[in-house]
Amino acid sequence: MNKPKKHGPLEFHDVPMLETRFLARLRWFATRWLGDAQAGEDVAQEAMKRVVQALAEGRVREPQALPAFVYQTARHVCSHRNRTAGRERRMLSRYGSERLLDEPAPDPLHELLTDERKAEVRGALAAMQEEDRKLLAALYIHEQNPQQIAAELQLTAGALRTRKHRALKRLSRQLAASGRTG
Amino acid sequence: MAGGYNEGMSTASCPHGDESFIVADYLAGRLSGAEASAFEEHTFNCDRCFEELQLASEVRAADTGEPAAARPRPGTTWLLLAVAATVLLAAGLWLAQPLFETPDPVYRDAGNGAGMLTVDVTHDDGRVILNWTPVQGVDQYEIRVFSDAGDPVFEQQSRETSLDLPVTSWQGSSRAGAFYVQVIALDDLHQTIVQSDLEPL
Repeated sequence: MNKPKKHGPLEFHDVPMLETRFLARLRWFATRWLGDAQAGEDVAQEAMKRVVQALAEGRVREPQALPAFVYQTARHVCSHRNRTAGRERRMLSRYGSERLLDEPAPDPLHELLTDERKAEVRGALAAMQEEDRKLLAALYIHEQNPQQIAAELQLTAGALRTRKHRALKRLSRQLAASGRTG
Repeated sequence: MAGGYNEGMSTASCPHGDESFIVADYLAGRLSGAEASAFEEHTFNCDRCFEELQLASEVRAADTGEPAAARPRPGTTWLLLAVAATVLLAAGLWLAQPLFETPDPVYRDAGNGAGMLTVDVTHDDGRVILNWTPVQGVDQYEIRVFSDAGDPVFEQQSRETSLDLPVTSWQGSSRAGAFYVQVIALDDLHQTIVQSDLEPL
């Protein structure tokens, strides 16, 4: 009979692997949570540092627990950051809220993209069929309810999901092609 | 994005499958707080969902003003077009406005079950007692009192849904005039879920 396999500490020295796997996610979500790309970058770096440290200390033993651990670490770092610096920021945002009502805040996630990448995406979208382009715009830019879109296009929900899936695939391929030729 | 959308990825552990709208619902703030948190955690272990999030973000960032409304397919009957036109006319700007709302970049629960936050102010023998409606997904409430000039004169955080206001702490000062209270529901990231109107004390 085989002995049950004991889990040792996860590898912590492969920082590039960890960064490849998690840094973009940390950056994306921290920017979304905090509404600020620079603050998101700071939180992503701090969370990554804490994850590496936790791995070095053997605090994460199960490989399958690592993604959730990274996520919770990022939430914790964001929460801590807001608790310490939040009062002043909230006051400022609250007093400024009336002024801002007429000025839609720019999406901080847009700052994560270079102008070159935005141009690539515009090019890829322009090369797609109008039907695909409008569907992606309705879903992701105008945030129309999928049921509403399906009704307007006279499609079943399933058919709309399939069309969305194919449109995303085509966009991804267009982007890959423009990356190769650009 | 190496490999491209949904190519060469493990999909066995993704409960959302290829044909889900969860990314669109998440970005539009249509998920509850718990659903959004569960989805976020899931994306740390799912390349497909995270790549769709990234692609969707890129589409938003590259927005060139594509019209929002989807168009009926050719062959739609005139009757359907007439009905659609009537509905659009009747709804007018009320329908058009939500199509162009700017998305809130920060995760919040407002509008997805959090509901309204209303404050009831009761005066009892010199005491001022606040009671407010509980909010789903709240971590704590922040209670603020402002003078009629807009200056904050009192602030306290609480996990309860009532508070006996220590009125003397600001009324003993030289401040005069009316005071207003506001209760703000905060999530665990200290983001505002929903806030009450200013209520006179």
